[in-house]
Amino acid sequence: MKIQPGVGYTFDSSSKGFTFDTSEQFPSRDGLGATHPFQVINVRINAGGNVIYQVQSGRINNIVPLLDDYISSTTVLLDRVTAGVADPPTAELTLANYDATTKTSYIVLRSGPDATTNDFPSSDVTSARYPQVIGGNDPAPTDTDTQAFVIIGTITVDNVTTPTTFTVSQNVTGSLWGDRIKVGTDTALYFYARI
Amino acid sequence: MGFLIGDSVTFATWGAIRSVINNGEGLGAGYSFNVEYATGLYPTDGYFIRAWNTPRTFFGQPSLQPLFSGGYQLIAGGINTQDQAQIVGETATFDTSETLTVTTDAFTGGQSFTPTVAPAYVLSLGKFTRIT
Repeated sequence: MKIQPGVGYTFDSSSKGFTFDTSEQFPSRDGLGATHPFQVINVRINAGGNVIYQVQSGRINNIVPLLDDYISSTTVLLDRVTAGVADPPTAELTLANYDATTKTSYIVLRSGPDATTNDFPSSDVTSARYPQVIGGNDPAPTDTDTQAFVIIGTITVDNVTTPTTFTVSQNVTGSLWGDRIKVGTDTALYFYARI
Repeated sequence: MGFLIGDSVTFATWGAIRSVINNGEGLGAGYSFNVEYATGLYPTDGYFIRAWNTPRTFFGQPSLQPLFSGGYQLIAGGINTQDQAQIVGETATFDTSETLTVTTDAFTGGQSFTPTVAPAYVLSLGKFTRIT
């Protein structure tokens, strides 16, 4: 049996035996090597054979987005800090999250203006317009008056049903300012600036 | 001193430096990081023109509208010189269907004209069209 280094444990071997230390099962964010907000980090394949990933916390207009945490099956804030669980939270990609042609999942920040105040984005965490990071299958999601999309990174796999290797690329390298501008009946336009 | 962009409460990026032209029908409505223009003139081949703006200090929507003050004038305000150059020589068509060729006078105190019917707003102007 050969044991390789991995995330969440340390492994030491000598002529007297080996030690397997899982006391840092959920490493700190620094331990994940993130260098900037919204960095797609710690991409790996879980026991179920699906790609899982984490996203370093960032902000859009000073609001921390949500991520669909596959472990708890709930949407949680990227800056969640909870003892005993992985921080930032972990998302999972399944077949529906990939573009079949490019074998790529587009890690997208989705936001929308508040339905009541019109502020962008909504700060109502219970609203679908509150910023959320999702794994999309569309390389160019179409903005609407109520939803805006910006791709923060991509994960491309060798096989969308049984991935064994993956490539990660990063589009956004910092938190964002974003403005929504709507003219007449035209669909609103959204502009982002990295900060 | 340079201008600071990236506000924390209001238009932060393009919203702070780009606008449509106020056509005398009303100003845009501003929210946090969101601005909506229900009326005005905007370029048909692009997005917006530069706002009359000192970020974080002042935001002014450029304007071009027919006004009556003892006589009719087409008066512009807050339109930078480069955008003015795109407008001078263009034909302004008013809501009354009357037309006027824009001169530099519109940007320097007002371009006088004598309509047969009182206009309310500019319907089209070269590359600009009225928001509907």
